[in-house]
Amino acid sequence: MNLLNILRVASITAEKSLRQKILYLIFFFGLVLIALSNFLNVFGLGAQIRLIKDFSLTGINLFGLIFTIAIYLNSIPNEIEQKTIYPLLAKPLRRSEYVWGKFLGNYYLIFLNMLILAVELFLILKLNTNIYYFNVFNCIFLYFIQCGVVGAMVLAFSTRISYPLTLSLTLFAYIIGGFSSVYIQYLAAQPENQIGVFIIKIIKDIIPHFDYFNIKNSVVHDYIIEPKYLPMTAFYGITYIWLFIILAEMSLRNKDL
Amino acid sequence: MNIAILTENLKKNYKYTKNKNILALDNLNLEVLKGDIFGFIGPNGAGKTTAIKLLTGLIQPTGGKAYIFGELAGSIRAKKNIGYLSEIAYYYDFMEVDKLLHFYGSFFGISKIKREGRIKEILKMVDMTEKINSKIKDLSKGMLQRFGIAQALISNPPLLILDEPTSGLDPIGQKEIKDIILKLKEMGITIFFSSHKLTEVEHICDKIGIIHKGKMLTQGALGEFLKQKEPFLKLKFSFSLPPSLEVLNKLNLPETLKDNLLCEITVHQKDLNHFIDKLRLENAQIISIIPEISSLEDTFFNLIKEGEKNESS
Ligand SMILES: Nc1ncnc2c1ncn2[C@@H]1O[C@H](COP(=O)(O)OP(=O)(O)O)[C@@H](O)[C@H]1O
Ligand SMILES: [Mg+2]
Repeated sequence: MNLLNILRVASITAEKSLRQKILYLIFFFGLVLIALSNFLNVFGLGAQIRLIKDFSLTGINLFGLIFTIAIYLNSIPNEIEQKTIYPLLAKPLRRSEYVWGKFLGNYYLIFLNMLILAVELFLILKLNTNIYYFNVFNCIFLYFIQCGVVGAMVLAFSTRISYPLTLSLTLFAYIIGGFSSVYIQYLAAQPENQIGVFIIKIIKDIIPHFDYFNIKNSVVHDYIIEPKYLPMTAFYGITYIWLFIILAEMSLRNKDL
Repeated sequence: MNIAILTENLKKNYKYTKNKNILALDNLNLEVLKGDIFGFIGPNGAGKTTAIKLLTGLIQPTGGKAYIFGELAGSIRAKKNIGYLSEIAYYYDFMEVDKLLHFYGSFFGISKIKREGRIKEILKMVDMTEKINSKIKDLSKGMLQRFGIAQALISNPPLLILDEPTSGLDPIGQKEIKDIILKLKEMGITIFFSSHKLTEVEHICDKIGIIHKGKMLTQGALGEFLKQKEPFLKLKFSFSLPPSLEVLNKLNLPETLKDNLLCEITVHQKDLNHFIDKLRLENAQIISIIPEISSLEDTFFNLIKEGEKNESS
């Protein structure tokens, strides 16, 4: 693979995605939502800070995911439909470089989106308490990795199936993959759930455990997070990203454009 | 390496469902020599675009192989030697001509300075120098097609593959594209282009191949196809006075020419001299003798009809 080729595709991908008005709308709603958290009032400063964190981090997760799905859903199908893919793929460019470029170009915009939201939250917390809550960045970092996994998954699905189906499959995977192990154990304790739990466990074994990426509770309550947890989870996510990109590439290679 | 394009039993089957598929290309054997202009002719749905996509590596063959200057089609090394204009060409419409050409050129590892010179050169060649800073979305259809040729030329490729470069253009636009193709031929570039109109290729191709329903019906030098035709000629002549019925009868001409000074008829090659002798005896002036070329079109239709007959029997 040629890294320069990947960057070339990434840069034009980002430029193209920046022309999607819907992304600005999602970004803007995210900004407003977090700003609103500043006006949430509960009794006691500690409780209020926890509420701001909880509310904003949930918002960043949600809007990050919406932004991710919106940006990847049509990224490759659009190029196929508009036929801009023909002149490009006929150039000395590998399919793998093309797919990585598509992924990274959009991932860069997701990065900017989440970075701005993270800084906004950080500043709100600082203004309210005069304390630097650096740990919100840890949480948002893992959300960012999670968005990469979801995005790569959407990219892989979207090369083959229609976008409503891609959307449904992604949501399905996200919900099943997000069931925490504790919750599944709880379900498994009831005898009438055996079959359902068995199926969920199998599916969970192949799709990413999205619950790993959510350390919001620890961050809200300022619990100590094991130092190894962040890099390990990031590595876990990147492995999945890599697998999904390979899937996307194989699917695109055999597709009759 | 004297062969620019070589295919061996190239085959493409599009799968729709388990039971339904379309054999779009059936054992295509092509050989295009360096320096040739090869016209790939066939009606819509014949499989031209499919063959071209296989040559450029956009799709994978179901069977057979294709080589570009000896390299397997679709490989990076093969793609380095190809300039490709797709059938329906859309480009990133938010980009400027100059920027987009730089972008495409960058994949060939051409340095920025060299690209700059090259871009000026090719824009001049396709006559759109003044559009260098225009946005793609502001180009007219004819301009867009010329841009398409420019982006295909960015790497100075030895082989150009053009999929229906003139379709959808008005006659002036078509002529402009044909002139560009001829200019490129003079520069020694091998050109492979498809068309569904035979008249399109008559004047610019050295070789043609005729494809129908995925099968190559015939291929060869254009001259041979012209030889195959019945040699008819268009003869134009005039009289100083309108010819009398008697004269018309003697010459075996239709009566409708009676009030005309200027006449035009079609004669078979073998009757030409005899006919001219008779005309001269009647004091007619010979104005012009032009060989009929339209029979190339007939050859095309006959081949296709034959192909269909063979298929149904
Ligand atoms: N991507 C595709 N998927 C399925 N069938 C296709 C595809 N592209 C072309 N075909 C079919 O293959 C046949 C040949 O098409 P094509 O190569 O586009 O012909 P031409 O370029 O000569 O008009 C047609 O029957 C067409 O419907
Ligand atoms: Mg076609």
